Amino acid sequence: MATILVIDDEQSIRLLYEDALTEAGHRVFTASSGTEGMRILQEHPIDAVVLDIKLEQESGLDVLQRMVEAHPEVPVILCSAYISFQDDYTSWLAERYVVKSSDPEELIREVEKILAEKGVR
Amino acid sequence: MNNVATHRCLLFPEDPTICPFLTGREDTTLDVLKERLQKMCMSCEAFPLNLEQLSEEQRRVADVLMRLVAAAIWRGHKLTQFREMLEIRDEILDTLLHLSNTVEWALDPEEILYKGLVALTAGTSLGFNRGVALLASHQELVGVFALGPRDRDEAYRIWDEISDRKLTTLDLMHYSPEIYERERTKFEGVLQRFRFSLDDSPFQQVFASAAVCRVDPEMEIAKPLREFYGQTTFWVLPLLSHLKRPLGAILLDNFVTGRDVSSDDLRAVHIFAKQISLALERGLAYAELQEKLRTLEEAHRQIQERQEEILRLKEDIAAGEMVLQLTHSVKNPIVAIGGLARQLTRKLGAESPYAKYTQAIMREAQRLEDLLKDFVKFVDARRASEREPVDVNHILTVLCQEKQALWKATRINCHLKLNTDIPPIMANRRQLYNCLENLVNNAGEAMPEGGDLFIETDVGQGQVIIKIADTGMGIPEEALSNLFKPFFTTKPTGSGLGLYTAKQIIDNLGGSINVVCERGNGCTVLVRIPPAKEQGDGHDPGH
Repeated sequence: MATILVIDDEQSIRLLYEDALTEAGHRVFTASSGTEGMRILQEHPIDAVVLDIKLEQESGLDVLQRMVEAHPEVPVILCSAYISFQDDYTSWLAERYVVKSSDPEELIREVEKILAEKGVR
Repeated sequence: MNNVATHRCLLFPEDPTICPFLTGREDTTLDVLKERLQKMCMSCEAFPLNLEQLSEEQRRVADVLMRLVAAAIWRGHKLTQFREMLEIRDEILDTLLHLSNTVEWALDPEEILYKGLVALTAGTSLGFNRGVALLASHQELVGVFALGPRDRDEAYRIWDEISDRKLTTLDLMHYSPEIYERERTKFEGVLQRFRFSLDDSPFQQVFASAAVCRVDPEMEIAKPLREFYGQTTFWVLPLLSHLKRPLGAILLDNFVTGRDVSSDDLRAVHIFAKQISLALERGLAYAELQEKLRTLEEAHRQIQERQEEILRLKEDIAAGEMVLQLTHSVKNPIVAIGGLARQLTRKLGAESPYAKYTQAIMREAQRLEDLLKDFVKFVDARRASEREPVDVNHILTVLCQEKQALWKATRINCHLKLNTDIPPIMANRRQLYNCLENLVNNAGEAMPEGGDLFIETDVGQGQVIIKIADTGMGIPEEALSNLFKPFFTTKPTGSGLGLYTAKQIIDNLGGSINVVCERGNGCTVLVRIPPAKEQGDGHDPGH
């Protein structure tokens, strides 16, 4: 079991990801903003972060930047409705990029791949 | 001759016709004694002898008479000379006046050169046998026109014709582009060889001195000139702008008559050259102005076209951005609805009486999601995109890995046969992936009962060939021609944008896409893309 932090400003998406990842056997924290996410990262040992690229009032990329600086050991999966950012995510220092889908399979697969690479479990 | 008897010749009173000093047609002077005495006897060789005879008999009177006659003869000669000179001046003045009048409003450099050469070669006054006009262009002197005969035979033929038809200089100056072209063609071979540097001899000297220059056979000059003129002397007239910039030159010679040119003639030639230069400078400036005007008009037209294009592109981009914004803001709720319905379905289990409702929600959300995905790809394909060398084999391998689970579930066997020698192509990796994914998805969807999917790469006629073949139901012939049109679909839930987007992407890469179908035997899609070095600037509407 790993501990995953989901940061997304949309409540329904948080609910969906929390439910799907919990079903997949993970412990899940959720945050609706970058600030909240950073606080959880400080307080809890997190194995991986699922981060929406577009948050309310702030860019997910700024949050990503802060996160990589403060917690370089925590891998981040960028998650977005945009397909066009697929070209660029590595330059932003994210580990993975997942296009949002109603089928959370891909997200769970990517999370598990990362955890396996990091030797978690 | 009936007057002969009444006007007795002093020397041969019996029969004046036996006068040994009369030749040919001069016997007509026998008619009028006074004229005969003045014209013939005064210059007759026998006359001084007669006077000497007389002087022996009547010495003093005869001496005086002899001196008076000598003086009269000398004056007669002088008068004739003056008259001829006046006639020549008159003709030169006339020709100059014609030239001046006729080129006054001429703006066409060809017309000016034509009239200038006619003025210099027509008539008996200056009447050079032949003239060649050169124009300066980019530090070069280029032969543009020549007027006159090519050889002696032609010379006599032309001169006879002019005299028979009583053509005046003014007649000859009548210009038309046809006459110009006819004369130019006669000397085309020579004109083509006449290309000189402004520094070549004798042009450098001519332009430096701004004076007409006589070139004799022993002078060292540019080779094509010597080849053309050989042992013939010729004259070079500089044509200079008012700022002494070389505009061109005129070459004149008398290769038939061999006539020399007096210093008076050269002064006249100089005035002619000035007149031609003046007109030519105006004509050339006008031509340049016209050319500039044309360029400006063309530039103006292009700018207008570009403006329209930019406006269209701006609208396109704005519309594209709007679609993207819209799809993104719609996508999150759809993902949530579909995802949560999926979770709910799982939690309820298949036995639940509510399962069919949650499944319906799930299905509809999925449908909306697929539509959105197509729209986003469609808009994305029209946007500016960075290109890089892309290995098609790699993309297809990744694509097949991604689809493996799906194909396993739908009993599709994928046969991947990749030629490892294919060259890279310049493309946007994501766009090409989307394009090939669309094609592969279509092939997969054509086999709902399962089947074989063949994905192959190869090189043919220097192009990368991608072949995607299925063993599905095929496409009806009437649908085949609409396949790449937007919003055309044979699927009940399709957006009709998948193949259209795929074709746009391939078109932008300078490639082609073809579909061959056999009813009941599946379809084969053939994509051809030129390799990186040949693609150049494929049309990319985003740029």
